[in-house]
Parts: sequence; structure tokens; C-alpha cells
Amino acid sequence: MGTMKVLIIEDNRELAQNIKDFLLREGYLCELCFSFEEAEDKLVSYSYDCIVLDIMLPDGNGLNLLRQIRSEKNESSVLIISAKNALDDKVKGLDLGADDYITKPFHLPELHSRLKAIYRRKFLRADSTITFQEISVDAAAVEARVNGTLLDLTRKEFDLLLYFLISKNRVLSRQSIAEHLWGDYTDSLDNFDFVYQHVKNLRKKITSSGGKDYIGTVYGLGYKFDTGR
Amino acid sequence: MKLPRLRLIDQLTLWFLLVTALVLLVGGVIVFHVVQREIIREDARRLQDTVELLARNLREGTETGQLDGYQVNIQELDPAAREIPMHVKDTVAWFPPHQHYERELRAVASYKINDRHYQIAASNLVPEQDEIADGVVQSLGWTFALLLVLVGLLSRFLSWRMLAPFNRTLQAVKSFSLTRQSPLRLSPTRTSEFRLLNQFLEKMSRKAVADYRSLKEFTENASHELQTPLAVIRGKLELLMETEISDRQASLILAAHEAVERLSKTNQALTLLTRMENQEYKPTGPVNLSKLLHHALRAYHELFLMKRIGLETEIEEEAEVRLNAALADILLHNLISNAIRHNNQGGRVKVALTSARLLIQNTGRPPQLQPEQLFQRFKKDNQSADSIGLGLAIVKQICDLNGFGVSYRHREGWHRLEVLFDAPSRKMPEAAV
Repeated sequence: MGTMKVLIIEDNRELAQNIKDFLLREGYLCELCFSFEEAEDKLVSYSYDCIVLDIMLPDGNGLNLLRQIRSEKNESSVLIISAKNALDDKVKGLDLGADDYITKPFHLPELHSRLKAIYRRKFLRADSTITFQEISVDAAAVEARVNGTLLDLTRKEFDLLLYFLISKNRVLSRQSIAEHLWGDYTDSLDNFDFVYQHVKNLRKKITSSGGKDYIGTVYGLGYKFDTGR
Repeated sequence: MKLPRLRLIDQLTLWFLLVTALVLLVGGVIVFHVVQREIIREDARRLQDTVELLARNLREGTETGQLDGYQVNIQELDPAAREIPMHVKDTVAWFPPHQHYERELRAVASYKINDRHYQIAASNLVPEQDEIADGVVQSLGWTFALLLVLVGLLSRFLSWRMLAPFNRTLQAVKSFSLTRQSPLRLSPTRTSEFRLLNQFLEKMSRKAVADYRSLKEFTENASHELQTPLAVIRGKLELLMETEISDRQASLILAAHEAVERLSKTNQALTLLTRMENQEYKPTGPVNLSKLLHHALRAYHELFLMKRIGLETEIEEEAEVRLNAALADILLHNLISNAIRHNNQGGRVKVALTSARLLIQNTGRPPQLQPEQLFQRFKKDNQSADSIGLGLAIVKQICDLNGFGVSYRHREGWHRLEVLFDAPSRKMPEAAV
């Protein structure tokens, strides 16, 4: 995968900066713009692999920008950011050709994993396998192998492993993991036990197939897939 | 006593006929008296004329001619007696052909002619009072009957014609819905009252739609404005997590992170409640609740296992309910997660669904709150950190919005939450027009 060029269109500078800081560590090229107008200029002059687009901009509706992007046969993937519960926006956004949709407030690793997923779907259709050392995960086939041996994972465990691999060396908070696996319905759950159980099972399955135990707890904050272990 | 509902035109007609009847009644009395007075006055004048004519004939010695069928009577009086002046008497007289007394008018006067004293009387039968009354009552009765028929027919026709714009307005108002966000458009009318009414309604609907829109926008903006800083804080904390930190710092970050989570969840739940209050979740048609319930239970399968909670289900297949699909999902998830959260390790949950009701029962500690308080916002049985206290308030709101009944009971160690899909008391009354 080459260097991914990402344009972040978000009027809140701090939030835009958060996204940029997070993605920079992945080696992405990130550009920021804070208004509709600025975004229009950028889109005319440059091309991007991915566009992170906030629908609510001070000087225009992000959906109009999306319409513009799509009418210009711009092939960039678009990830929409919007307020929670704005169902109309979600439907409209996806109808207008957005690739995915994330609601505020989101977890940065979640945003990253969505971007990766879009990118994978769009540009690397032929090869959807992510490999790290002895572990290889085929996102399309939903198969994970350690040293070539197929792991017997539940769907949740598979998603969890993929999430870890995409967020290598990142601290994933338990809330972030729970939301990734459970979507909207985490609000009412005892996330901690639940996440703990799944991580425990996943680690057990990897090590029992001869894989190294890369996943560890970080302070009490969450978990990390540590490539240096 | 409850009066029957009448249409405006029927009420007007009734009042009109009532007043007409009263007027005809009073008018009848007046007509009766006037007619009677006129008859008597005219008759009296003619009788007097007859008496005078007879007197003149007597004086001139001419023959008395035909006298219009009046009964006349001439008799001699004592010449010394005083002359009787002309007067008319209203009396009764024996009427042989009918063998009874009839009312009779009698003009009497005496004249001294050629040293002789004559009393001349002329009399005539006059119509009886009841005969006049009969006539009056009959004619007015027919008048009233004619009015009744004409007014009855005409009023219906006129009301159909004149109230047509009003009825159109009524139809438009009836089908007006705020959520559709289009103000009333009423057809023009030449009646000034209706024109005023239409103008007023159009203005009001425009205002209502504008207010609704701004409220909706405010809610969405408020939610967005809150969620953006929350997202910023969360992002900063996540970035901070990845720096070199001590255990002490980690625990501070963790506490802050959890508080932000709670805040954002509360915000989401409140936004959902507000949007439901704004009637933004219309029923999308019948929803297959059985399918959704199976799906939701599958989603919680691992959690059941983890808390070692035994699940018993009794689900009628293809149970359909008229409800917004998104709300149906939220309803089920809130109820199931509630049954898990307030349960013991190794407890039990029973779920029963038919197309008439959903019953979810779970074991767990007995409640400390009154049952009705459970549905209030931010009322929590235990101030536990993992609940924001809005789950059941949302359930209640969904039920209220769709005319479902929802109740809670604690019996024999079981918490019973029951949703009745067609609670008769909650049915919306049809607008009566």
C-alpha cells in the first residue's frame, strides 16, 4: 500500500488536528481545511485517496460538497462525519456516493479502521490480506491464519484481530473496542468484562496456534497490539 | 344531559323556525284582534247606515227597499219618551235554523217623526270569535308549513354553497402535519369571514412550521455543538494515551475518558428523546418484531453467556407491529440490556412475544424505586456508573408515541416489563367534525 493522501475537511480545528496527528503516525499525508470554500479550492488543485468530510460546515453543507466531488468523477473515497442520530444525513450521504459514515464523537482508532476498510475495498480488491509476521488476516474471506494454520475465530474475535492489526502499536481503549464490535448498542453494556473476555479468548487462540502474544494491556486504559514484543 | 351534536346550519334553521313560530303566534293574536275589530266596526257602520236610511224613509214616507238581508225592526214608543241616541250593541240572539244563540250586532236608535216616536233597530249575525281564530290559525299554520319546507331545503342548499370554502379549510387543517413541514395552502374565497379565517390559519401554520423547523435545527445544532467538543476531548485523550505516561497519569486519563463517554451517551439519549418528541420517527409500516427480537437476542448472546444468564424465549413468529424500524430496534435493545444489567450472575431472563404484547422478565435485586419512577428520566435504581438512567425513559417515550401501554411490576422475585401493542386507552380519538 502506497502512502495514502487524506484530505480532512472539518471546521473544528482541534478535531481536525486530532485526526491529522493520529493519521500522521500511520505515515499518511494529511491536509487540513476548515471551510467549504477552502475545501473547494483544494479539491480543484489536488487529488486525494480519501476525504474525511464533516457535513456541518460553517459556510455550506458538506453534502453539497460531496455532490460536487461525485459529479466531477473524482474517485476519492469519502468518509462522512456527522452528528449522532441525524438519520437523514446518513441516508442522503450514502445515496450521494459516500463510502462510509461515522458519527461524532468517534474514537480515532475507529476512524482509522474505517478509512482503512474503505481504502481496502476501493483500491486493493484483489488482495485484501493484511499480514504481520506469522499472522495473516484475509478481510474479504474472513479468515485468519497463524503460520498458515486457520484460526477458529468467532466473527467478533475476527473483527477484533483485524482492528488490532490496523491499529498496531496503538492503545485501544475498551470503549473504542466495544463500539467497534458492537456499534450503536454499547451504551448499555458492561463493556469492560465483555471486551476483556474477547481479548482473552483471542490471545488464547493465537498463542495456542503457535503465534506470539502481541496483545497486552496498557496501564488499565486498554489494549495494544505491540509489534515489539 | 348531553345535547346531540348539530351542524351549524341545522342549529341556525332551528333557531330561525323557533323565532318564526313565536312571531307567528304573536302575529296570530294581533291578526285575530284586528280582523275582529274591523269586521265589527264595518258591520256596525252599515247597521247604523241602515237605521238612518230607514229613519229617512219613514220621515219622507217613501217605501223602504231591499235592506241587504239585515234584520230590521221598527216599533213605536211613547212619544213623550226621550229619543234614544244611536248605539250599537254586541249581544247574542237566538238563531232558529241552528237552534242556538249566535253572536249578533244590533244598532238601535229612536226618532220622533211627525209626532210619532219610532225605535228603529237593525241587527246582523257576526262571525264568532272561534271562527275568526280558526281562520287565522289555519292561514298562519299553512304559512309556517310552507316556511318549514322552504327554509329546510334552502338552508341545506345555501350551507352547501356558502360553507364550501369553510369545509375545504377544515379538510386542509385536518390533514395538516407539522412534520411534513409545509404550511397550509387554502383556496381563495369571497366570504370575508372565511377569508380572514384562512389568512389567520395560513399565518399560524407558517409560524408553526417555522418554529418547528427552528426547534429541530436547534436540537440538531445543539447536539452537534456538544458532540464536536466531546469528540475533540476524546481524541486528545486517545492521543495522550499513546504518549509515554505513568500509571498515575493513565488512571487520570482513564477517569476523564470514561466521563466523556458518559457525557456523550447522555447527550445522544437526550437528543433521541427530543427528536421523538418532535415526532420525527414516523411508523414506517408494520415491522416484523419477531425477526428483530431474534436478531437482538443474538447480538446479546455473548453477554448472556458471560453473565451466565439463562435465557428462555417464547416468541411467536412473524409478529408484526406498526412502529418505526429504528425505534423498534432501540426499544428491544434497551429492554434486553436492561434485563441483563439489572440481573445477577447466573440469573434468568424470560422473553415472550406475541403480536399483542412483549413481556420481558428477569431476576435481580428487588427495586428500590417506585415502579412509576423507573420510567422517569435520570431515575436510577442504583447509582451505578454503567447506566445513564435514560433507557426506560426512552422505552416509555417510544410506547407513548405509538400508543403502546408499558408497565413494570415486581413479583415473586421477577422484574416484569410488559409492553402492550394495542392498549385501548391510548388510542387517539378521531377528530369529530
